[in-house]
Amino acid sequence: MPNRRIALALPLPPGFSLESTENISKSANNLTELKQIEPKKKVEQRKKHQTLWLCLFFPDFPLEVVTDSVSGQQVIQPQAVVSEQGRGVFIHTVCDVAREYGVTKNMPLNAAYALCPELKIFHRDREKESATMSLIADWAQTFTSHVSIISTNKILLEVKGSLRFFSGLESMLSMIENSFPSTWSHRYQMAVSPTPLASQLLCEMSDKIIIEDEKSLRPVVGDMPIDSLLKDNVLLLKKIEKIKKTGVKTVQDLWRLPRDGLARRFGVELLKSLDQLTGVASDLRVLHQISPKFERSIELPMETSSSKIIIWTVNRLFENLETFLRKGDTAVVQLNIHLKHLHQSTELVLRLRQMARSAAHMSALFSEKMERTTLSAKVVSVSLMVDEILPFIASDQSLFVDGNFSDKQHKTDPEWENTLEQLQNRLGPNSVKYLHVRDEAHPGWAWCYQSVLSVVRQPGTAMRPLWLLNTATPLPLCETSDLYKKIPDYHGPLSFLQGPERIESGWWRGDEQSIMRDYYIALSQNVGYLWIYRDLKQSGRWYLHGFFG
Amino acid sequence: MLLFFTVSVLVSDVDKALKSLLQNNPGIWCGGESIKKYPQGLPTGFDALDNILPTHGWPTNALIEVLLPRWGIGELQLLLPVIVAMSQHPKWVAWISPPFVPYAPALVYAGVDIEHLVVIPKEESKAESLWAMEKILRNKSCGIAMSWPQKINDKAMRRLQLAAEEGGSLGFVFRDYQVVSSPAALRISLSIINHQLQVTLLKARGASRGQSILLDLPIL
Repeated sequence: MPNRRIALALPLPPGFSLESTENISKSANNLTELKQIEPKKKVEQRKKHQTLWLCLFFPDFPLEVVTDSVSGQQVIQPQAVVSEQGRGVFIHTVCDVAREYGVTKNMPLNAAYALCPELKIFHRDREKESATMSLIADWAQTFTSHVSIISTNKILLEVKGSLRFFSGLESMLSMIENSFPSTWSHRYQMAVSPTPLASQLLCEMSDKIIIEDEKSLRPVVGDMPIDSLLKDNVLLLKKIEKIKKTGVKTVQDLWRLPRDGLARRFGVELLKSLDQLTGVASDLRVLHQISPKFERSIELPMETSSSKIIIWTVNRLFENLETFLRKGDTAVVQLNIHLKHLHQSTELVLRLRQMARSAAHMSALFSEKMERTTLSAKVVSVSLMVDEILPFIASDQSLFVDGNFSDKQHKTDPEWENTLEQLQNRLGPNSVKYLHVRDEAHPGWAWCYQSVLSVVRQPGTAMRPLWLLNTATPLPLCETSDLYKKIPDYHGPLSFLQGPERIESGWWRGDEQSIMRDYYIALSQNVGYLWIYRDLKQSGRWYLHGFFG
Repeated sequence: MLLFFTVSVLVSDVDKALKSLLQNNPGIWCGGESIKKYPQGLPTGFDALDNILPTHGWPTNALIEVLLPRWGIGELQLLLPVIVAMSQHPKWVAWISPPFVPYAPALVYAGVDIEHLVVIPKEESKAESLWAMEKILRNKSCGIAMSWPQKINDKAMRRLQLAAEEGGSLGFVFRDYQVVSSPAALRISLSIINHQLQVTLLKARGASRGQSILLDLPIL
């Protein structure tokens, strides 16, 4: 198809025959026919693609966050969270006990005290609320990638795409219930419906309202009182009161009214919300993103200097980190671990040779590090911080462990890299070296150590020793029977086997770095074959530069 | 006739019992005969040396102790064939605190794939060279690990021996001439006699000790 479209877009070259233009127009007709069919297909497909939104609502969330009560524990004392609104302080969330006294939401604090004098109040902690909510959203991402946080105590999950994986809605819901971490004390209600807005409103009405298709959604939504649109600021209170004055009580009543009139009297937003409620208008939600940083800490139950306990605690953090990294398919190269004492803190840095995400690997490195760390004081808490989180790149491993199948090209072997990593962590970042040949005539510059493996291949050199002395040793001369001839000595007089090989190099680098030497291969009775040279710049002194070893 | 028959039955019975006793008892080993039972080692590249070694080559999964009067008398040329083979296999060849610089141009010329060599220089390894040696020996990707420790005791040697058994690699420890005994599986001593390298078998599982050979080293 694309070819034809391009042909139409091109201007016709001069001398183009009529016949061929006819052909093109024919094909153009075909194209329009096709176009008429194609969009229809698309519409059908779009209709089939339905969504299903699960909303989790945490009614006592602000209270649970500040009190941190353990789930299942009976709260005996009446408790409430208050928030400042305008001039006064008002009740925001109430526990069941306080509710029995008649304390309700949005009640002024004084009135609440009048009803229930022993009421224990807490101030709202919005920061902690949003931090906890994003933890919950992180957890929810195990079920679907579409998770969005709406308001301070609700999250929405698009579950249609995950239904097949979790073998149906029912088993998925029970799985959600079972996997909800027991350490979180939050009470929740849930609702499932084809539109996000409907789920959002329904979950507040009662627990476990489940509507799977749009047809059965309409009657349920229609019966909703108009007041429920007040929730989550779908509509403002003023507007709702204005609508109520016209005698409208339920959403159904609104549907009966002419749309243009509604828009004129109450604004276009009302129509939009009504359409979104039934799924006629699209409703886009902001997706929850896993935070680009990792920072967690654990308070130790009592201060300790036992490295066993510290390692155990940090391993919990590593496990958290691994789940965090696996969820986002990411990895890390550097970890900062802070061991906090009462007044100061010890900072340990783990640098990894290659990006990693396995908790076991980090744990092995950390224990290695802890063995050699002396703590200045007892540790109160430990925290793990990662600043840089990188996308994970899986290394390829040979299916055949036998070396015959792997090709000779250098491949990173994770186990070997781990070992090198441990060495570097203990001996220092530059302790592990690779050898490298350089294209230099100067024997001392023809090689070098490198911290990174490079694959530049240089040919080797013939007649060179296997051992090279980093700095050449001067050789003394020994007397011979011939009075005028003196030969160098190294554990016995040397006899020359080969040479001289004149090496003259580096003159362009200045006098100090230039060399002019005659190299010989010599034999010592007690040591074997040696590589020696005569420095022609220093009036012919003899030096030992290597062993053929 | 009858007597002969019973005797032959008895002999075969005793034979069977003996065989099972020898085979099932790790504490008993036969001198000389057991040579065949040792697994084939890695060829050293020198036929004369292969012939005196019970494994017909360097024993794998073993720590090999090399004693020599001073560095540089020919120990590298002795190991060069196996280093070349390992680096091209490819497996890693590790040099831990070598006394001098392993000279890359000569190694490349000899056919060593230097991309599979790692060196931990003496200045870097400090007191940790034995720990590093053990870590590397335990790794399955390591082919050869060579170490030049300044001080090493029997306990450490035993640890290295176990590490080499676990990793299945060749471990060479180069030590001073004077050491009398150690737990290494194979101990050889080197010396120079008339430009030739004398290799003496000090200890080898399944071979009579004290055998020595002279090798002409191929000078590069």
